[in-house]
Amino acid sequence: MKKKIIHLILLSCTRATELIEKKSLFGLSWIERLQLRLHTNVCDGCTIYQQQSILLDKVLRSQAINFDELSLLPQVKNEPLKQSILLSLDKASN
Amino acid sequence: MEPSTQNSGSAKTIRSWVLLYFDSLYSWAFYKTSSKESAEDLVQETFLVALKSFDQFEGKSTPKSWLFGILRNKIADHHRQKYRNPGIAMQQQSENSADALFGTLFNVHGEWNVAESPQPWQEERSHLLDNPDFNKTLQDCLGKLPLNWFSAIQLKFMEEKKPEQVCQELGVTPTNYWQIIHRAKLQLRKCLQINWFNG
Repeated sequence: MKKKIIHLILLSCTRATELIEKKSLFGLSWIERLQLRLHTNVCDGCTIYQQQSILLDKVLRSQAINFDELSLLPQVKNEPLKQSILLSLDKASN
Repeated sequence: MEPSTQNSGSAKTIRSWVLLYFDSLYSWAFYKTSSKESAEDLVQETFLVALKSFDQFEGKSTPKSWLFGILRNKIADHHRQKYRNPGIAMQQQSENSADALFGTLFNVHGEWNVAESPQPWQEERSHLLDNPDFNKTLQDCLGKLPLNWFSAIQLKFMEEKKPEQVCQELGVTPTNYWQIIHRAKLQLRKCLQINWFNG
């Protein structure tokens, strides 16, 4: 019972991590923002989760095709495969 | 490749794209899979799909981004297939087991279980993103996500779609959407924790 009351004010970690994700997608209401701040003030796990969640977002965003970065990738050649694809396309166009 | 039914015009166009983009497509596939065989298959399939669905290329994007888009989907399928038996309706089961993870992370009061509470990661962000091994681990972790969770992640981050568009494409409500992202990221975080940060 005591826990329930605490969680009503301070949120559970389940709810806090939910709000952390909601925040980056849709934003939070002022009361949610306040609740989340109160929670992370006292909860190390969720504070670290929040930092890592932001890092994960950056990592995932870096998976988007970025042609500038792509050009920096080391080039790996595979001439035999390239030639075999070209050959089958030549067959197709004749 | 068996492109015999295609008309010669599309094959000629694609031929010119092979000359222009093969090296960068292949390098990217190799970087993402760390495997010569996989990269070969994926790039070959990419040009095959391009040839088959040439009609759908309407010049809305550049040939380069169109080809890379096809390859990206092939790479995603490749990583997913490693964790899925074909032919069985795995999605629900996978989602159930992913939900089970949720139960192990938090106790009945919704607090972190002591062993699961996030610990600081030691690595620099710049270092991570430049590391091909980390990239491989990340791809593997993404491949373990239930299919529609992965779709949500892909649409949001890799295709940079707005929340409204993602909800529409996935047929979910905004609340569903951030709950999916929440669970997907909890699982990803845990997977990286185990397989990369060794905790």
